[in-house]
Amino acid sequence: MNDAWYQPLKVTGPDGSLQEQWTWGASQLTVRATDQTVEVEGPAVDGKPPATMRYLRAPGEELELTARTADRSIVARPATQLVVLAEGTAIIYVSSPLWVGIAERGTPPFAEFPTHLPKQTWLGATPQAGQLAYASRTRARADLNNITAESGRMLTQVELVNHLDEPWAIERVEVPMPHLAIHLCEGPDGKVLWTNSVRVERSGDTEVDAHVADGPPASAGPAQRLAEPRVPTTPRLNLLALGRWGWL
Amino acid sequence: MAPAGADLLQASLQLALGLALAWGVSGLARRIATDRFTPAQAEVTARLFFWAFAALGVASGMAELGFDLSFLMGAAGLLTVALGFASQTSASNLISGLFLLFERPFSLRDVIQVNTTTGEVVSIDLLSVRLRTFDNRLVRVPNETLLKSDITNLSHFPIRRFDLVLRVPFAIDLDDLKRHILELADATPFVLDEPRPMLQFLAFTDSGVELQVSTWFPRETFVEQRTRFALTVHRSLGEANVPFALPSRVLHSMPSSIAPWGPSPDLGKDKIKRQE
Repeated sequence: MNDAWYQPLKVTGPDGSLQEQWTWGASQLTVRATDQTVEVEGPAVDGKPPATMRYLRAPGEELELTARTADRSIVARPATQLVVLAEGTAIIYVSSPLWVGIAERGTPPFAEFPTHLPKQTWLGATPQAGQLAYASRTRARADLNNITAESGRMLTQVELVNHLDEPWAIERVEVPMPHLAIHLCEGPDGKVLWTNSVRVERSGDTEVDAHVADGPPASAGPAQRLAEPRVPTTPRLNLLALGRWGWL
Repeated sequence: MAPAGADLLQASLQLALGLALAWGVSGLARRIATDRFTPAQAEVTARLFFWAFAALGVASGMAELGFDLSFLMGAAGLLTVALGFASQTSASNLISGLFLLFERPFSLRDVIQVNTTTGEVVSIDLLSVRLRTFDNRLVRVPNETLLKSDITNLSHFPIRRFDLVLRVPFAIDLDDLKRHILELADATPFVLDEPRPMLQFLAFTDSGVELQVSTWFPRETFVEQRTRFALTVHRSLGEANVPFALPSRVLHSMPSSIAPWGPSPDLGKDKIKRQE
């Protein structure tokens, strides 16, 4: 695996050609470039075999792989029943897959792939109203030591604040990935990708607001901002994914 | 008596004023309705305003010219009755179309099912709705038929449930089968994680146990993915040596000496042949 994949890739060689391959878990991405074309063989997505796509490009431009967050929210379920006590606070950590974009320097990506494709899920109180999201394959954890930092994944700290005087049973946590930036943090165990932290506050039976912090938690270590959010972050987001649901 | 030149001028002015007013009011109505209704509803609203004000302008101009409008109204009434009888079906379709337009059970590009026809809505007109079926035929459904029929809108909600009915032999361990199917649904990337996949008992039938596997898919890829999931289940059950129950019948063979109208005292001791 190319550990420095998030650094710009220069088209090298006398004929301006390049061939690189990256592996994240079971996913593999191959980029073959000449002066005029870029051929991308992406990971197998959604059970379908890897597709090869060819793009025409301006000669001489540098290619770069860019880290991106998921294009939809990630929904994670706590590993064990999690209850935030009345007027209490809890912190959980969610691991989510990284999307990799391929772009000419300074332009939006012309192709992007998830390093681990999560299952899709429905985010809404009923099947009639809501939105599609991704289901996290790993559970939300209260102890950071229970999450192993895998390649192609990033961590998000979610702080749950219960302002009510009754316990708050958490069954799902929505992490608004498109609103988060990615940071490369130099932690005690090496380099780990983190997103901005999210603080979720419950102030009423149906009122749940999320606030996106400026960066990752301080405990993650010195941070270098790698990628901007897909969607400009607003100070306050409405989340749909907390609470009890019943269907069918 | 022929109208004087001044009357003619004034009648023309009133007619022109009426038409201009109709044009202006209908434009205003279209603008206001566009913000609140669909384009089709806005257009109908604008046209209603136009014809109402245009009729007022025409009536006003004719009154200025000395026409007896009460006579005209009487004639119009008779004409309306005659036209009403002649165009009963069209009028019914027209009124049904107005009801449908404001009830909005579907929109353009929705996929709907009306009676036995399923297709994409390609136009919504005052008299009919046109559907493009998936085998690329154009079906015109009169609005009256739509109003009287059950309409199923297949693309109204963003996700849809697929119910796969399985019939397995009685000898199968249903708990194991349930676990196997639900694990398979969880491991299949294109099945939505939530709402959760579900397996329900339907019935004990002649040939086995009937079960229903319910899984959810995004609307846009529903048709493709339900087939992929059914194939996945078929392949997985084959690999797990779970047979599908086939219609079966038990035949009892009897000696020819036994009368056909009475039960055989030896019934049950005879050879039983199972035929599939």
